[in-house]
Amino acid sequence: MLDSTQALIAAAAMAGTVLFCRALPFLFFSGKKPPKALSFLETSTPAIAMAVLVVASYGSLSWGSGPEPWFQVGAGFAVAILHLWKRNALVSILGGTGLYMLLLAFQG
Amino acid sequence: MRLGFPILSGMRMFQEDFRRAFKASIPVLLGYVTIGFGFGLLAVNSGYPPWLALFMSVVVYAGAAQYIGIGLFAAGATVPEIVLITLVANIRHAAYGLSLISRYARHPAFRPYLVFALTDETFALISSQDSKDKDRGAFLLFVSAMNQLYWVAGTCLGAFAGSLATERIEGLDFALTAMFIVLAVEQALKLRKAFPFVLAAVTTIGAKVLLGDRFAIIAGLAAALLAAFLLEPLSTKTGTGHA
Repeated sequence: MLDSTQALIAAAAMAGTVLFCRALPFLFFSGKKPPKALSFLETSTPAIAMAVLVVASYGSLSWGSGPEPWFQVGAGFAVAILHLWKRNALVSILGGTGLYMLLLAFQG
Repeated sequence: MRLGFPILSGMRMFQEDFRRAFKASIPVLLGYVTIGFGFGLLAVNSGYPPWLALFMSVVVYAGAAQYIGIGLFAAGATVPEIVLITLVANIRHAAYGLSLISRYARHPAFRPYLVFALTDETFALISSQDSKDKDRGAFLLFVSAMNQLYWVAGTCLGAFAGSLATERIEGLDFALTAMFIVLAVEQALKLRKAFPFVLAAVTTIGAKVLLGDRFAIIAGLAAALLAAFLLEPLSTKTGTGHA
């Protein structure tokens, strides 16, 4: 875990990165059409990034030492189903997290 | 009469812009206060001081990136890893700016802040306004600033609530995974392609097995992006029959 000072430095680096993303078209493509490489980045990268983060989140759990990872799998399906149904991020996140917290509470 | 009091009429226009901006931003008010609350709560629950959550909401101001950031800080990620993941998670924002270049160029004094504050929700909100409002620099500035104010207010409330809790709230960390799943589902609905997801899953599992958890995200991401970059032109070419 990063301490608060390290996290502050990392947060400042994040701020610069986000600003770079937002300013990119204003810096380089005023009026011109963006190159193909950028349009590829726009369409596929968010999907790839989110899939990597989901898989890595589950991969880092301590599988085999208790039911918690399986609770997370169940809660994850609940999130996806809620989201396909209601298409409301808040409902999906709160619903899935609430289910996981309930499962943890009942187990203990 | 109006010509006789240009300052007064300017003031009225300003007030009118403010009023209309507030009315337009109400849907974002509800969303940002709650998601900002969740961020503040998560940051403090993960062991970080409230000021760090506030700092992030003021200078980073990117919902998903801030949630991911807290997860990466807690996992002890390095700054290059954090920068790369932030870049990949937020490069979509570059697409938003493309459609606003000429509009924002007309308001050079406000442009630095307008560009800084161009979140998903602000972009969606600005894009959906009629041109009468979209052409007013003050309206654009007010909408952008109000949205960030909601985000910062939500963060403060969440961080405060988190600092009142005497014990760590068990299971709250799953909210991060849940948010990644929501964003992945959104992407799946938009792309209607399984390929990027399967590719990312394969490279991430491969990276975890070969290199361990420490490098699973960065190596999985790099491998998936490289593979997608090499395979994408091939698949679109054959798909449209240009080859």
